[in-house]
Amino acid sequence: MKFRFFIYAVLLLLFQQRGLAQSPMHRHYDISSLSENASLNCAVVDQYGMMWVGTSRGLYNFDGSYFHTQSLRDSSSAAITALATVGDTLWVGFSDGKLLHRSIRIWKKETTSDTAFRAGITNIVVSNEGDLFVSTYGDGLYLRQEGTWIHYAAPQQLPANEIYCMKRSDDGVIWIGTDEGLSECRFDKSQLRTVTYSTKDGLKDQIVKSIYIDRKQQVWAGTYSGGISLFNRAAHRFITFPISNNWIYGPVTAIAVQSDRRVFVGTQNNGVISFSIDNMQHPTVFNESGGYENSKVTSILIDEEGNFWVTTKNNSLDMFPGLFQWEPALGQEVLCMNYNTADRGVWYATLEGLQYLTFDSSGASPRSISLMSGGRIPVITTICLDAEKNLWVGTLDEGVFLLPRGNEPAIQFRETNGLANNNVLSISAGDEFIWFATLGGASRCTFRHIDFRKSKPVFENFTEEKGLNSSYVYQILDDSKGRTWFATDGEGLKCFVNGKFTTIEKIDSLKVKTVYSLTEDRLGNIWFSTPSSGIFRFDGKNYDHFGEKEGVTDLAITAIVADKNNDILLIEKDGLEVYEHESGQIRRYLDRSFFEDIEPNINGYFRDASENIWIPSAKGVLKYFPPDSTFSDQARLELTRVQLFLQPFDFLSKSKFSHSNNHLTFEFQGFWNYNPSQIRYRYKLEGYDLDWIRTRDERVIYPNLPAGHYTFMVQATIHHNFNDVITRSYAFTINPPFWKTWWFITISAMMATAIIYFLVKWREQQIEREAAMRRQAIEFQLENLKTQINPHFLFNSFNTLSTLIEEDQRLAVTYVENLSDFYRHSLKFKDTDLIALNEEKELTDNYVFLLKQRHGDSLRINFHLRPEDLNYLIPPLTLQLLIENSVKHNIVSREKPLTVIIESHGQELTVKNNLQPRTSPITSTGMGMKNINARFELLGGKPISVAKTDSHFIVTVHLIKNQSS
Amino acid sequence: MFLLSLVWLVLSVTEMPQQKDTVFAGNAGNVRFISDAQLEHIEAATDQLAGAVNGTSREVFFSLSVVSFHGFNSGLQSEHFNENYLESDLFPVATFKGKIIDDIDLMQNGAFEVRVKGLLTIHGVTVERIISGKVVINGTTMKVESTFPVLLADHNITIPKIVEMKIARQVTVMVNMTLIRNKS
Repeated sequence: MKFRFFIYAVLLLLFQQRGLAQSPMHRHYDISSLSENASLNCAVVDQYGMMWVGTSRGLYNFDGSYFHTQSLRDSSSAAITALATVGDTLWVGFSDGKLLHRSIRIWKKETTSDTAFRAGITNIVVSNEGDLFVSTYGDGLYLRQEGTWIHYAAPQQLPANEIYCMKRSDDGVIWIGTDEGLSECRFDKSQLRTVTYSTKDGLKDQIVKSIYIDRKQQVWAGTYSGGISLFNRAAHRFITFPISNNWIYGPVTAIAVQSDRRVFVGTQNNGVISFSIDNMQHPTVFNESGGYENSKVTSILIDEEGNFWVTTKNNSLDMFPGLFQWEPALGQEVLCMNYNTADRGVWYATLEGLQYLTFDSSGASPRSISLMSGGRIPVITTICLDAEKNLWVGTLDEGVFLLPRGNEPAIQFRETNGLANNNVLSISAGDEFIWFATLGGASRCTFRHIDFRKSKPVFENFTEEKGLNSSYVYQILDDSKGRTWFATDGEGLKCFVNGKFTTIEKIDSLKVKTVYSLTEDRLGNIWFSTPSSGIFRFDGKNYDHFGEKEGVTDLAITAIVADKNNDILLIEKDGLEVYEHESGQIRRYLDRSFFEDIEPNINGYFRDASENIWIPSAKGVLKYFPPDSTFSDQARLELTRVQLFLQPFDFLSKSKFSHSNNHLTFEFQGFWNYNPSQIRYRYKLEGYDLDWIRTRDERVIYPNLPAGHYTFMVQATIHHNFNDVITRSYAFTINPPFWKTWWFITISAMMATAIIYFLVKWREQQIEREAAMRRQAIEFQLENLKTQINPHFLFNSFNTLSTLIEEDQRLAVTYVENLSDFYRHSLKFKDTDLIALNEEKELTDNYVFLLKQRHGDSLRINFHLRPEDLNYLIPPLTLQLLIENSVKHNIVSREKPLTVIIESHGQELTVKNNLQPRTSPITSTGMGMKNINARFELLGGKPISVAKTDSHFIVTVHLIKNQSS
Repeated sequence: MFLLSLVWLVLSVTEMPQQKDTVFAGNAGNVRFISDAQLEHIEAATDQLAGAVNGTSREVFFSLSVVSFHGFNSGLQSEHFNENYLESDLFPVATFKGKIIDDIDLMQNGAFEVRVKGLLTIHGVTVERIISGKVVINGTTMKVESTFPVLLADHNITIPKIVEMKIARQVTVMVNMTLIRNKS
């Protein structure tokens, strides 16, 4: 226990060794790496959170960390002096009077306005109805309504043509600042009515250089030499703040008001001045002597997080956090403090003792309050102001000093005066009692209606006898339910109700031996912090623990305090964390650049009447302004660019790609201006990725996407999780190649079916034909056989043979040879469909020889076959059949010889005989001709044609080409 | 000779005063400037100047001869002033032409704090300025007093690194003139 005290004392004393240069809490972003000697003239934030900065050297955007050059096609050497954004459109005004607008995301969409103004543009305002207002310095005011420009100028419509600034309030009124004052411009269609308010209306100086319309639609005017004024629109008069009566900071070039809480004033020569709205007398000045180098302020902007952005004439953009501010006037190494609402003075303690700080027109003036005689300075641990305005100052070793009603001289109380211990760690004022937490238990005394200048306080002590076993008490809190809570070292949290102590030493399985700090939120929850186990919430029944797992990054918490939003501020050695009541998330403010080793004193914080929390620390007093409900507490996000094969394209209007355009790059940007390095992303390509992919990159490439429907989704967060974040998405389709389209597949399938169908059909026919042919061949063979074994033929042949045997035996032998040849050939070609014409001729020759022997000269058979035609094919025995046919049907006699001529003309073969029909016609089956015809057809040839003239009978057959030759 | 040309310039620039306009004009007075640098204090003055104030239109014009500044710490300094910094052979005249912003009746006797907005031309570079001063009118005379800073960078006057400690980046200019009302 003693050891712990030792550490504590050492911590306090450590402050002495530190001597750090005071710097205003801001982040400095320099544009000089991209452009030298640029004057940053104006800035706007677009709907996604990207900041656009107009400079004397062109247009840039700023993503929270870096500037990016934005090339304008209509490049101009003139400075950009005005910017405005509405939706996806960015308006850019130049010092030479040129105006253009372009798309925020698609750089190709840029249009230069047809009107050039005769003087530099000072402001651009776009109304909800789409009316465009352009103010110029020297050429009055322009309004573009439904595509036509209307010009308003002095002296008829305006007090002056040199307009310094122009703003629009939500009711449609345009406010302009000129050398003549603040003018209210009301437009009735295109008619302009102007009322100018000036010094006669309470304005300190008629030269109005800057205007700001705050969230309540109040109009603030910044003047050349009269500081700032607030215009009361109901009374048509200016409210001037005392500080403006003797304004020493020079021309006001910019004003920004953070939702009824803070005013930032940019000056021409004196940097930035900040006020709390509830205390316009107390400026906090950030100028060259205050460590802020940029004195020439051109504009101030408030982002969605409430941060102030200051553009300056010398290359830089500076961010002053919306929620924090150092109070440089209080110096460094502040132990504790308190605030006097009566004269807005501040009591604060350093190792130099107790100080009292007041502000007047010439600045801050601190005054030392001596507590002890002989120049001895006690180590002050706590300063408490009770409801009767008595100031109680707790010390180490020197007990308590009381300034009755805040007045000196201080009265000292020690153990000898009844106090529990001389080492006081904190003093808290409840409704009834003042509580003293000491290293020897606790004391309390009543204070209501007591004039301590006349009567001494009576201390009631709580030690072991009363049930407070631990003697080290860090903090005591009277809650709203009449309980008193003790933060102790050794006994954890103690609750004192109706004269009895209860101890909470163990919560779930966590041992809580030591509690440093206590606070009660407006919902009646008691919160307390431990040295290494995080914080706890007691809602009257249950305890909830918030440790590392719940998102507390730094468990070494020196104090906790509830703010007006019921958020819990965790004050730590290297910064702050805030438990957000609304979302249950923990926001971290642990950036080293702002907070490293701030070493706040245990329970040294102070909550003022406006519920701002002052945190005395080794690096000075840090003021925390609880966020307004309108402030964004999550990162904003923009899908900035989509590229196809690394070439950006207009992704807002194109979402269909051919199958070969499948290399896509997505670029996105999260915005958390307070600390961009906290941003984390996750993305998912719906249709491709199975799950979200976490990343810190701001770019994803999908190099070879198959055809399909996809949605790229990306989210950004500043917390450890992705609860309640916005999603930006881009849906697109990669079309399949045409051979994978449904219509192509359908048509192909249909065609394939058709082809197969016809193939089958054709094959069927083929088979059928083959079958028919076989049948025909068999029939033909049968017919042939019939012919050959025709008894008549045989009888004739044998008759002829017997005659020959008698007359010419040698010829008879030849005859028999031919007869047998004829039969052999018939058998040989029995199974053959086609034979060559020369083979057919050979075959026919045998037959003709037989016929000739019988008929002698009465039958003449002449072949006129061209040698080149001999290769054509013919069904076997066709000629024999046709010759036989001729002999069968015609008279063959010595008087009337029958002449058969067989001729070939290419593919055509004719068998012609002179017509001399027999008188008694032979009964004919007609099978022979039919058979030949069928065979030709089956073999794919032309049918035979039969022609009968008066004198001739002609049969024409078409020979078949030999495919193999 | 130079003075004549200055007066001619003043009258020609104060845009054709109407017959009934009241004009205060003259060339009696002086202009001083002070450069208070870390290592050296420089002061110089001239009385070769002219000024005019149109009491009706409230237009103002002042002009001075740059080369006529005297009182430098050394002759070399004067030479540098004329040749290197102000380039007075190129830009022999410094002028201020403007209009009084404040609504003040210059026909009345009295002392007024006025602010004049106009174009200050030094070293050939024109910068728009609001310059405040004090005007005392007593019958036919108008006394003009003004003290204002001039940032050298504004007028493209570059100071070599080597003498940065000897020449202030911002000099203070003090004007003191007496103008006489015309008879019209």
